[in-house]
Amino acid sequence: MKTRRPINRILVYTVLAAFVALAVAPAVAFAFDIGDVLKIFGVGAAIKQFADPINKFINKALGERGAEARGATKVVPIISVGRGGYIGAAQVVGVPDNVKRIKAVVQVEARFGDVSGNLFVPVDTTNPGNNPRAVDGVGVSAIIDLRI
Amino acid sequence: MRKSAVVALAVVAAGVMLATALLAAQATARAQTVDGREVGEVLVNGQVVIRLRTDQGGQTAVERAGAVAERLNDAFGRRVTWRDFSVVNFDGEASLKAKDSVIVTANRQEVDAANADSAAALAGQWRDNVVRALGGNPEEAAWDDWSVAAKKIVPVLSVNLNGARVGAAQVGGPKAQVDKVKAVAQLDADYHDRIRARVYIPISSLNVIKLSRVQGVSVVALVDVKVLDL
Repeated sequence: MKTRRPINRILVYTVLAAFVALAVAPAVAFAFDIGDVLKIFGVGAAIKQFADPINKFINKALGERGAEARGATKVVPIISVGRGGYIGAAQVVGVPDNVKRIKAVVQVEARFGDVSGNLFVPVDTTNPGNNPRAVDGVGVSAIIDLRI
Repeated sequence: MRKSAVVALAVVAAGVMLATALLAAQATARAQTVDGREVGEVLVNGQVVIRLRTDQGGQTAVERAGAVAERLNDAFGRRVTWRDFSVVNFDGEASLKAKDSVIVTANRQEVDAANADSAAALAGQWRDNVVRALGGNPEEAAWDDWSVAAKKIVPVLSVNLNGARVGAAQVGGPKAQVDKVKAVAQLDADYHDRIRARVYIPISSLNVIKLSRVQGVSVVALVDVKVLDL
């Protein structure tokens, strides 16, 4: 029994430390500005952390010009099919139930002769593969570039 | 036992029919005096949804309201829901439709009498009122009909550069809404110096000072056209 006591103590301290870390983590993240989060944790983490304030910021900018969109809006990461990984963020807009399902926007680069462009496909997965299927009733309202 | 079971089933069926009849939407019309002038009001489930102010085609505004209420009741009899109401624009006028049936048209006289911005705005207001009276959400009504989705390419005009053309975009959405889009306005906004948002607003005119957003339509693709090969 005597030999087990230090192990129990270590276990208790570890659990306590984990609780403290979990409680403090969001406050630490908010203490960083968006540039710090971008540099340290990357684009994905920055989008996750700042999606709501960016969404509100865009809706406010539209509201000030009387051009707000009806329906629900949300900010999600853009995944590039060509380059792979997160390359920015997009605000999607549309039928509220369908907007809730959107996890990312897939950007597909396309070229037809002298015309090239980027297709934006709102999808309900963060792992869309090479043939992403769009969710109907949802479209892209804004493209968001993050500067590191 | 068998007889009592039949009676019970008949009572349940009658109850279901009665409940269905009571729950069905109902349109009525009435005369009201607004600003010293007699107008015809159309009500759905007791809520005023359309107010007609002009006499047309040999009918008074009140008689026209009665005809509109009849058309609405016909539509409710065909079990249309709030999702089936749409606005269709044509030649400066706009019609409120229930599926394929025209319920009422906002023409120039009605727009002027209501002091509305446009026929589309007035008919859109009527549709929103009907949708609300039927327990629906007008915000979703503008997004519902993607079964006849359409796409088209329009110029992108910069709001920050006073309407300068900065590219082209493909917009997508319900066909009736896509047909209205003349351009996409691009609004650039910076957030905390680290984020630049390029916001795309499908608009029904080429005016980027007063943005006339077309609801239910959004950008599907951004297009670059190579003009010179240097």
